[in-house]
Amino acid sequence: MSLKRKLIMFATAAVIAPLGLVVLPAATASAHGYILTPPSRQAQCAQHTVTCDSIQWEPQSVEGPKGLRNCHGNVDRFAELSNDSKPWRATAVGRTVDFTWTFTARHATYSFEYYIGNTRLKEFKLNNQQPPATLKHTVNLGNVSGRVRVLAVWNIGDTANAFYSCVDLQVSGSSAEPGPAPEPAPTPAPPASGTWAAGTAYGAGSVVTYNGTTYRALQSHTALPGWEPPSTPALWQAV
Amino acid sequence: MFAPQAPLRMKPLLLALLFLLAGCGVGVTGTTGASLSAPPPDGTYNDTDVMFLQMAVPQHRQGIEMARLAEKRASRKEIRELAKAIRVTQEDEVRQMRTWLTRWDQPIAPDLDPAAHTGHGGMHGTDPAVLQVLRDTPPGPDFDKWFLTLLTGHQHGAVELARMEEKDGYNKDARALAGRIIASRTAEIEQLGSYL
Repeated sequence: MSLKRKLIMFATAAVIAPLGLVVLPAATASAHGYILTPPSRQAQCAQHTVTCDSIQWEPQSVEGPKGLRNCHGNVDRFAELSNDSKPWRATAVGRTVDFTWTFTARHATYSFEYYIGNTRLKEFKLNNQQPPATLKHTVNLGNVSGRVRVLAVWNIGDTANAFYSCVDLQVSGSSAEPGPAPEPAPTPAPPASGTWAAGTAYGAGSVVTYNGTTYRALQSHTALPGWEPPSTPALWQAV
Repeated sequence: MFAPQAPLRMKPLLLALLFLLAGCGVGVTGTTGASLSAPPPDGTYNDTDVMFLQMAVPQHRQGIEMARLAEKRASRKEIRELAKAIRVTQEDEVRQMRTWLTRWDQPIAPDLDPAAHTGHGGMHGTDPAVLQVLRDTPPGPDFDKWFLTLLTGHQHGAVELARMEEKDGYNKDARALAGRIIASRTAEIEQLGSYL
């Protein structure tokens, strides 16, 4: 269902709620989410760790009927998620793993399930409650080692659908958690100059040119696409 | 029944909804195919533009509040710096969006009953529980992790709204803003993920 249609339905429900005529149809679930850490396949698409097609724009939307055991929820345009030959990065873990979800909307939930192949590792039942905004599941992978693909299934409470998220892991035999990732070296952002370029760290006072105009950075930041100087007066001042 | 409380607020969205209701009798099934993309009232914008801006303003405000907390509480300098850049750019965008809505004589916020949205955690794109979690989390690694995680989900919501505008919006400036929102939020999500 399109976002617009959902919005119309929510808005409609709001307008007519006082009349007591209609409750939200079950099919309007706007639940969306995926596993962010360890980075699931759609998270790697969204973060451009791996080059992907349309899934990069909506990693939260891998929604299909309940009961599937693939990574793309039978959504054709997301089929590449089930392609094991893409260079998915496997996160090094011990046998106990914390999976963290991120949501755009948290709908009433029947359960979360975790599988390796057809073996269910764990089920978390929610009795049609909303999951908390900060959802973390601790799952024991059992007696596996080496590279494995975990499939997480988010079963929605009041629709026939579920959301699917595959996570590639490199399991070491020990139960020890891997240490925290090393802190990246701080990147100093001395005043830079030249043509504005996304990805560049600009310190306050940096001077750039963009489309023939010169701008001075008002605060330190890393330039991003969409933050071009003419449209971000809070970041750049024409000089 | 609407008359007592909906006099001047019968803006295009609500009117369209009422027509939608009238058209399909009792419920709204989502299969009517009715479109809210009416012809531009003054030739420069349509109802999708208005809906986009009205939904995006509160969506932005929540992001601004999340970022403001991170400016104070995130333990890593690069996260604080990103949070501040996100806050100030979104503040710029809110000013711009309010200016357009005012120019078009449209209310800043959709006049909807928030209770209708509690079932899925707040109006689309905003989720009060998300803000509350951050308010309740003291500075430390947990704050960093949850800020990065929650803002990622929040910015996906911004992309969803902006994609709706790109698809069905009419106004040139609003569509250009939607394009910048998609680009910047996508890049922010990548950067947030790199700090996890």
